[in-house]
Amino acid sequence: MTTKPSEENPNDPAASDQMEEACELNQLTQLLRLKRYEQPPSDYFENFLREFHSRQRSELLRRSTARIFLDQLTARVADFGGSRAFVGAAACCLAVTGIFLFQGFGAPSDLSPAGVATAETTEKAEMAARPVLPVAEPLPLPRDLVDGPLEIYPVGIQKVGASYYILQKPLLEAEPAEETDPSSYRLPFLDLDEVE
Amino acid sequence: MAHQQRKPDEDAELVARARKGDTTAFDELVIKHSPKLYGLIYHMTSNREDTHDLLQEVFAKAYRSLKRFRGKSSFYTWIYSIAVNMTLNFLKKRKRRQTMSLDDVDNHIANDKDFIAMTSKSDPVREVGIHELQKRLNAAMQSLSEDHRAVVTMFDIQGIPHKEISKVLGISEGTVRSRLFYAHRQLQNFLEEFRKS
Repeated sequence: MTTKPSEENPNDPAASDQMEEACELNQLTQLLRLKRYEQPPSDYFENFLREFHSRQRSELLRRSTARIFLDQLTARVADFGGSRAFVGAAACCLAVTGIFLFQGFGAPSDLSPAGVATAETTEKAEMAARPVLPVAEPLPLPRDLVDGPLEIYPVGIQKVGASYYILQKPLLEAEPAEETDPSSYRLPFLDLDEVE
Repeated sequence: MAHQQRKPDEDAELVARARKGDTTAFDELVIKHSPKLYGLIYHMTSNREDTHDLLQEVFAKAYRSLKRFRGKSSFYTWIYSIAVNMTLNFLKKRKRRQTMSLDDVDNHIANDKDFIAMTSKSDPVREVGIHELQKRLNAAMQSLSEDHRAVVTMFDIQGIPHKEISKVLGISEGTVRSRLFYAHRQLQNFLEEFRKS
């Protein structure tokens, strides 16, 4: 028959270690229990409530109408069983819809050659705060290209020094004449490799 | 098999009234729960000013969120969770302060039966003095991680059962026990060093 050392053999070193450990733990828990008496003075909680009321009042005054509306809306959605995730998703949908609507009203409908003027106007409106906004003048091109196969599109804005330029890029619809030096078509800021 | 029924929330009526806009009902909840919440925050932060500010914020947040309280747990568990989470967030932001403000042991301790029993024993604890030991214990508490300190505060100091702690912290009872085990071991080592020195 085996015997349990902790119960039947008090001289067992393992058992005495265990007892010592239990005793130390007991002492520790007693000490920790004493900490519950570390409380503030008796009138603290009365004053605490008073301060809580004044903080609530000042918070109400500080909060904007929009914030109060949002809080009430959230609470109402929650009343109808909506979760926070639902509220978040709804807010996201609303924001995305707003962005689409804003872009729909503000952006030009297309950037075709006929819409260049509209695009320019829009670009100018967007950069109204900026000091200078000249359109980069292309170098002179052979007349047959300008009148014929070459069309110019606005492709972006580039800053040079303190000035901003609307970049234009020619779209070549036909190969240039063999005798023409390709470098003569180069426009400011234009990378000819991109032109096909 | 016996069907386990949840105990009805004793704060349910006050909460219902507060949700309808009865501010005196919420005041009653504040008065009822602030001492325990104060103890929780205080033993986790070890600073009276921080405790005061955090406690104000806890009740302000609870008041704002009261409409969202669905009653799935008791109000006590719910507000405890708010307090623990806010305190843990606060502690993570704040660098651990080295200065202890818990150097004043409350006079009520002198009437405590544990205190009387402990000081009447002839052991090393008595020799070093209970006051000094309490200060040392505070330092030991601060040496624990925030998560371990939260468990020790709730279980050892406030006497909250494992099951309730697991609900408040959103962890399993096993994790609560394991955290307690390691925290006790760390505290014992810390105090042991003190006794030897």
